[in-house]
Amino acid sequence: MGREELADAVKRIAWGYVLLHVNVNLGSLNILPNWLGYLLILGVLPMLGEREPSALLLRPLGILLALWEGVLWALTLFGIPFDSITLSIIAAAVGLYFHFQLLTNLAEIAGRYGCPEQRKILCLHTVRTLLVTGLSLPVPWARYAGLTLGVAVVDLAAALWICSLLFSLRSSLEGAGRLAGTE
Amino acid sequence: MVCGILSPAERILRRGRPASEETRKRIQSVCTACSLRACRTVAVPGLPSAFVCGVFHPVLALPADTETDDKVLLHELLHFQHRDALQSVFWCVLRALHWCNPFLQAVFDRIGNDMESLCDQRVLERLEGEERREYGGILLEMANDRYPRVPGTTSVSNGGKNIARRITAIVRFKKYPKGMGLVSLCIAFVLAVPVLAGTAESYEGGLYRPRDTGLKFTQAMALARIRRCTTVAGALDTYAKGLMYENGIYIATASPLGRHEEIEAEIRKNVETENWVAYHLDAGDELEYLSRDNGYQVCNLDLQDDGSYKALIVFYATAFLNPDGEGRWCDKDGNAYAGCVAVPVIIRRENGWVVEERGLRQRFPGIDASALLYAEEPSAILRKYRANGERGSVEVCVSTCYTVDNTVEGGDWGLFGSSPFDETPKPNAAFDHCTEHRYTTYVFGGSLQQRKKLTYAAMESSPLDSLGDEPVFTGKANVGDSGWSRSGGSSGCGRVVTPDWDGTLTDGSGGTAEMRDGLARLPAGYAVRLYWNGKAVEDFILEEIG
Repeated sequence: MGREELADAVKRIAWGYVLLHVNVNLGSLNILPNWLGYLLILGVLPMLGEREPSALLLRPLGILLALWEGVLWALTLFGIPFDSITLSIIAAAVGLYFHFQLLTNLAEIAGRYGCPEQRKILCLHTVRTLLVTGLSLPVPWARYAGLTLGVAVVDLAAALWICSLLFSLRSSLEGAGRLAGTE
Repeated sequence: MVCGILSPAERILRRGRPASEETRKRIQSVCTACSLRACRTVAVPGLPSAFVCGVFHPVLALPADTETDDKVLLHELLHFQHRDALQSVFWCVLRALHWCNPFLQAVFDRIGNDMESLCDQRVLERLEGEERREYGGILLEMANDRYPRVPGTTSVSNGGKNIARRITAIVRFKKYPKGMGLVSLCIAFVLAVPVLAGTAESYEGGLYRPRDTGLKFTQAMALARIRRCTTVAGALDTYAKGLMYENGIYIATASPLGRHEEIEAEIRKNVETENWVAYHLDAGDELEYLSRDNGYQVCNLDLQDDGSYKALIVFYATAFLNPDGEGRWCDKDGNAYAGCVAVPVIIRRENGWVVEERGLRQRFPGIDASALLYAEEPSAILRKYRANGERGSVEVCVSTCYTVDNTVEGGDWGLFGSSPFDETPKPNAAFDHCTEHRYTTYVFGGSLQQRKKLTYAAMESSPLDSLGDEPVFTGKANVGDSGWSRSGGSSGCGRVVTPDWDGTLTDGSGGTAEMRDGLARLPAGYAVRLYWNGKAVEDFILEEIG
């Protein structure tokens, strides 16, 4: 797989993260569904797997997460309340590992091609893991307005960081490919 | 050694002699490279493979006849570092206790193999590239060797079949990425904390709704005992909705635990003998015709000396039960009286906050819940302030009204639309709004002569944060037969004095109250300026009375 294809794969992953973090709701219809984000990421895992074999191990977890988000999206669309703490916790745990490993694989790829984003991605995956762990805890965030606002701001900042870093990695890979010529 | 009998390992060690200087140097270099500790080393003639023996004084036994590879030394030193010999003794004790259980014997065998696999993992993490392949080769050479299973010892070899599995694992080996320990810990945290600490579930899941008969009653009552109301507003909201929807679980959640048995018995009677849907608890005749869409309001929440609160829960009623108990109470034209019902309650701490009714429920036919606060009903007054002067007396009655946000967003769903009032209890609610209502009454107390000369009377009232404050008056004295108010709490009214004037001026006003510590902050007093014929004639400073 050439650098350009790798850059394209990273671009799709970046857009996947955009879909995961940005929601636009028309009533109960989210037109930027999270399950679509996971499908985008799943679609490029085989390509990533050519460079990082451990990325292929994420496929079953990605499918589970896509299914979970799809079910939640459909239930919200039809106004069917759903509140399963057990499944939510399991999904949070699976998601924690999935995103950690995916970002680790991307960091490995960045390192292999000498991209400057490697250290930032490694830092990002640690921060994201801690943030998601904190938000997954059964704390009544919504009870305190200040806390809710703080969490929302931090979440937004983390989302912007992830997306900008991944798009930056894509640019670095494309740029490195142009300098080096075709592989 | 036990009872003077040497263990097999001890017999082997007794044949050995201290390792050579060269061997010790090699061991030390392996320890230095991998940040490990070294232990006593002996070389034993005829020993097939290295092993570590001993819990309190561990010894590394090496074959004296052949040179032991550094990777084997690393393997054994890692066993020593992690006290695997002690662990081996532990599993051996359990194995001995469960000697007759073949299943557990197989389990303990697997444990032993896993200990070796774990040690392989640790070795491989410290080796690079070709060294890992060589390590696999060393294990392959040992595949045909016999291996001792002796308590308190560890060995690099554990049988041909197990070595085959280990070599397969070596081939698949990949170092864990950095941070894997952190994410593992986070995953464990996310999974364990809700299991150990529980979760603050809301009522949203329909567990308590009367129409949800799927949930077992005993489970619902158990949840009512566990999920208590954490705030005063939450307890009032839960209790009020329990009365509105005649839901015994809601009422139980906001009631003292001592009442639960009585509530449970009542609900069971309703279910078993009168075929009510689950959780029905009769709210009483006074609350027979409540207007559920309008919800409820909490009036005159008052902190007591013992830390409890008194309040009135006021419901809107579309009708009242006839005093004789049959049908609606109507006027002579056949129109049902509408009004409100006030339920006096005490809210106190008990495993959260609980609500208990105090006194009789009062019905107010013809008086809307909003108007109750101006209706001069003694039970609807929170504070009274009074002052007497040369020209009469002034009294101010103050009431407060608290609300929890129970609006339902999202419009209508379903065939018949939905209630605009959220019927789900909120045991953790906070009051989102508080209003203060004031009713000021002046009673003329001047002379008959003054009364005859009086053509226009007006008054203006202003709250005082403390009694020593200088009141600020606008000087508005001529407003006709009407009243006015402005922000800051000042208000006033006036009227043209006619011969049939009863000698009183009344002014009702209200507005958003400032809240402090969950309660409306009431003024220390009021200042009232009296105007006769457009001129200020007297100022009254009203203080709170009993």
